[in-house]
Amino acid sequence: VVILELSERLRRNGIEAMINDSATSLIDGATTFGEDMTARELLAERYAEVLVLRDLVNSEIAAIIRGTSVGAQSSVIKLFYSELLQRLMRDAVSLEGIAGQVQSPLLEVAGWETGNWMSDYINSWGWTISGGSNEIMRNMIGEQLLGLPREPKAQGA
Amino acid sequence: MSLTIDERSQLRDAARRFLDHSSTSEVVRGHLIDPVGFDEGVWSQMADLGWLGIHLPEPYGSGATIGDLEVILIEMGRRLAQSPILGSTVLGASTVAMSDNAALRDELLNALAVGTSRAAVASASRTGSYDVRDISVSAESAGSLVRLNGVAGFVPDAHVANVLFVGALDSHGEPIFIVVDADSDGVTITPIPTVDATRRLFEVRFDSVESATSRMVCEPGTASALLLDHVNRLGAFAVCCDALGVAEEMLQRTAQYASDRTQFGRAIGSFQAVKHHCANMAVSVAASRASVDATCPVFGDPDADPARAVAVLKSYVSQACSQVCGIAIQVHGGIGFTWENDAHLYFKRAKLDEMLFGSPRWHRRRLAESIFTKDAFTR
Repeated sequence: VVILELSERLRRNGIEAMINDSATSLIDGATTFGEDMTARELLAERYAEVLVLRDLVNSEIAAIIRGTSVGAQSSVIKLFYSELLQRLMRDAVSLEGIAGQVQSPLLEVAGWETGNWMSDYINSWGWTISGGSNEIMRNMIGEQLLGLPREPKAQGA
Repeated sequence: MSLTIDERSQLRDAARRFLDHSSTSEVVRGHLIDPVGFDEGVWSQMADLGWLGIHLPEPYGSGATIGDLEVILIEMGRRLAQSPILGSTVLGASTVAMSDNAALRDELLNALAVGTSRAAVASASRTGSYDVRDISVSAESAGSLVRLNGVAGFVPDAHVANVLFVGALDSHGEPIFIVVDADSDGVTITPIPTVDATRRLFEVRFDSVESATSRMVCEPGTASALLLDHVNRLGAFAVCCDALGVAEEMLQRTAQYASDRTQFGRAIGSFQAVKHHCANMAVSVAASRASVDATCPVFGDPDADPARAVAVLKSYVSQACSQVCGIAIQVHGGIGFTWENDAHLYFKRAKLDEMLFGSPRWHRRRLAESIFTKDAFTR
């Protein structure tokens, strides 16, 4: 349920906010990014990924309700979500250019999509590291979902 | 009416059993260089299994939706199955089913559903654009006749079709969608040698080819443009299903290989460098599966926006699945780069799926047009 909320927030406060800003925000201080073909394609790609995340979350919720969910499936969602969040914030920062590097007061709200993209970008590592780093998630997916052998314990451990 | 979850699961098991013996690696490789590219016996069996009409309205088919073809298309991708099901069933029969030309439905729907007739749809331009405005066949009216000139590109399965559904632009630049017999005077069908040889694409040339206005699939203009767009979307959906099956099979085989193959006295799948490659494949496959499953019902839902849904699907799934096949080759190492290993067949098929019916970039551009409008998202 938490991930459902996070997924919806990434859509509304993340990608849709970026797209809504596209008419006024400037790329590198010049063209508005709604007019820039490369930026439009980039954001459309991220937008598609955010909707795929929603499909992924919905399919997991349906599996939980049916009782067919496999534990490591949540690692799949955590990995997909956190890396998409990071890509999205990276792209937002990239589109802002130097203007995005100016200090601005942090909003006093708990969130990962505040619209202060540089701050959100920095915070995105909170998601790729916490709750089991993404490397640990990959181990769990490899071993629990795909049945790959565990890494042998180091000598003397 | 759509199939239930149980019915879909039975269909999947039956499809898998059938394809496991009818589409082995040996069979697939055997058809790579033959000009037809598939086994007519297997096609008849597919017809007997009811696959060719599953998505058609009763009494011609089982009355399921195009989404229910998903199950079969995924299994066909998994086994690199060779058949004209894309051209004739997904595109051709669906076109007739959506036609408001009753005579055409009577003439063709049953024949396509049982496989005694085969269709191909010429909807792309000679250069491979799926924008209706770029169509490179022109139509000129002469009384009750329509005369076609020009070239359509990348037409799936045209070599074994007896009827062609052709998109053309009339003298006002308005699209028409019309049926032409494949053996009509002036029709020339030339194979396009694609890197993936498990499926066949053709250039179809029209030199003063005559058809009758009574054989139009629907009214010229907007109705034809909408139907051509819709048929192209069905194609995009079908190749994404195929790509998903391809990627699922590569994931499964790669995980198996990483468990079996040892190096430095350990299974290579125990090394994190390899394990993480496999985990990345699993994430892409899971997301692609979720996206395909979520897109299926869109075709039967009058309130849904299939244009946006298919653009999202093609943008993500077709690219993710071909990347999965690329990682599969890498994890297989040297053996994955040989002719004898099937990895290259899967990779080539996934790459064709990625580009056919609009590349991911082309779909993103379309998606951008729909989302970068004023107040696309209200909060």
